[in-house]
Amino acid sequence: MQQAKPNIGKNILLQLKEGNPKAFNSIFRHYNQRLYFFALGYLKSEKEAEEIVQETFLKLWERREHLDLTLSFHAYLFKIAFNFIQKRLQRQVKDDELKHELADELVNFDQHTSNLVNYHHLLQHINRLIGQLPPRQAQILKLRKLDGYSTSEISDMLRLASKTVEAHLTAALKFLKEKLNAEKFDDLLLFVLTLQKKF
Amino acid sequence: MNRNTELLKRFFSNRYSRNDYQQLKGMLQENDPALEELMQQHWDEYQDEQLTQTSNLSATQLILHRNIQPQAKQRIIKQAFNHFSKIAAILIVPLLLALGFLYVQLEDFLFQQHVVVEVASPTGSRTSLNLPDGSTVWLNGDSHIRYPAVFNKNREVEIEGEAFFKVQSDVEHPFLVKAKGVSVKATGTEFNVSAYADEPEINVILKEGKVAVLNDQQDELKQMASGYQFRYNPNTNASSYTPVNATGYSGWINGRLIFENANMVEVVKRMERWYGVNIEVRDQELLRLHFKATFIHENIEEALKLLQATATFKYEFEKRKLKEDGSFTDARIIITKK
Repeated sequence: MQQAKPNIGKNILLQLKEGNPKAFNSIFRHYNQRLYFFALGYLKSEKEAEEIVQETFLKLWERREHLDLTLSFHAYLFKIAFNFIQKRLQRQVKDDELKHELADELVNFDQHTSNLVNYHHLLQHINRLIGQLPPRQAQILKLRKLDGYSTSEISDMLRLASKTVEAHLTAALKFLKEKLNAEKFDDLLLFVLTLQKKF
Repeated sequence: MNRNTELLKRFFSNRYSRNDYQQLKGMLQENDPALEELMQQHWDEYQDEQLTQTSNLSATQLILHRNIQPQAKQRIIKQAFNHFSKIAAILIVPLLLALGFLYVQLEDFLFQQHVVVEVASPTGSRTSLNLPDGSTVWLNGDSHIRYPAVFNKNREVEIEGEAFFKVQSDVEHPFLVKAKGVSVKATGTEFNVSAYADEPEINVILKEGKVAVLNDQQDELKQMASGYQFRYNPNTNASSYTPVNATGYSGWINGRLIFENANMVEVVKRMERWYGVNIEVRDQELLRLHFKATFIHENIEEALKLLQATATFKYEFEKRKLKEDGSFTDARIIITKK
């Protein structure tokens, strides 16, 4: 447990401006956990959250001479971190494009499922179902739908006939759709209230 | 607009809907300035929240510490120079040059910048070690690694044989593994490199994260995704990129010898290094066999017995002969058709 500490004192900031590593360390101690868990919530990756802490503090050190002591340091640190977090989130959104397309293909989203179902858990649920597929089907589904390889590329990679690749893919999609459309996702609802109304 | 920090907080705490995600995605794609405003509000409120967990960031602190050190030294020199220049710049310049030279010499000596460490793992054994930056390396049998006692600008290591790397994140200093004239470049990842001198290919398997494989001209050969294997022959330029079970290939670091549909040639080579023996396959057609097996505590004899049960070969231990110098020849196993 970490108590909310008082703000960083002006004299520490002044020492940072002058390039004092001790002042830098004390600011690191003050902020590292808060920044780490803030970044973790958005980026959902421990590694990336750790890298945000590194990037932010390195930038703080590199730009220490430009530090404006009349402005809020708390807001200044956020501004540095925000730029890094935003860049990484934009990258994640781009990298995850196919994952969301697959979810769209598998689940017939309507008003209800788009607004009330916990999408985060739904994606995890899809992942679990992929894990239940026979290994070959799972591998081909991932290559085709999540890594974006074409059927002919996959047949080259795995030394399988295109027809075989297609058959595995069809079987995998059929299994996933059947599993998902048989459910109403009652256990994945965002609000417990909605669930109670039904009774 | 119905945009408020609640949307961000739902995303933050993994309680968001598909519509929430689409909204956030839209803001990110359009570089919407509202995002910064909302996130800042969240940050300001977050300050007052009590953190319920802590994460150990001591490695990050060490890396930052190292990154800010050289600049701290430069600053001292700069300040000293400013000070002296006020007194008598002309007199002091030659003296400073001399001091600077001494300083560089001394620093080299003190910080061991040119000391290279070499660690070898003999045939039949596995070795793990920590690098100066906090990364961990596992060395398989008949393998060795060379690295500077202190990393300078880059984190560069050289290997021959097989090694698994768990690289500590350091955004400023990429980690480079050199083998067979090829470099594998990473920041914070887990990957396996196999580059034995008696094999033509370098084989990289990425378990987690991202790496780039570069040739000796520093051109990018492949940007790898996790769960993939990249094989490259520097002599012929031939390469292949295929998905694999990465966990299977890194099993050796936990003392597991795992074969996933491996052919006889691979099985023999890996068993030779694993157990420190010589194996000879007498019948060519046996080389076409493929095996799937995992060995944990089995000794060489038990392992061979299990493999034999699944295929049509038999094995025989050759008697170790007494050499003229009084020592025995290496253990040798002969494999033939049943």
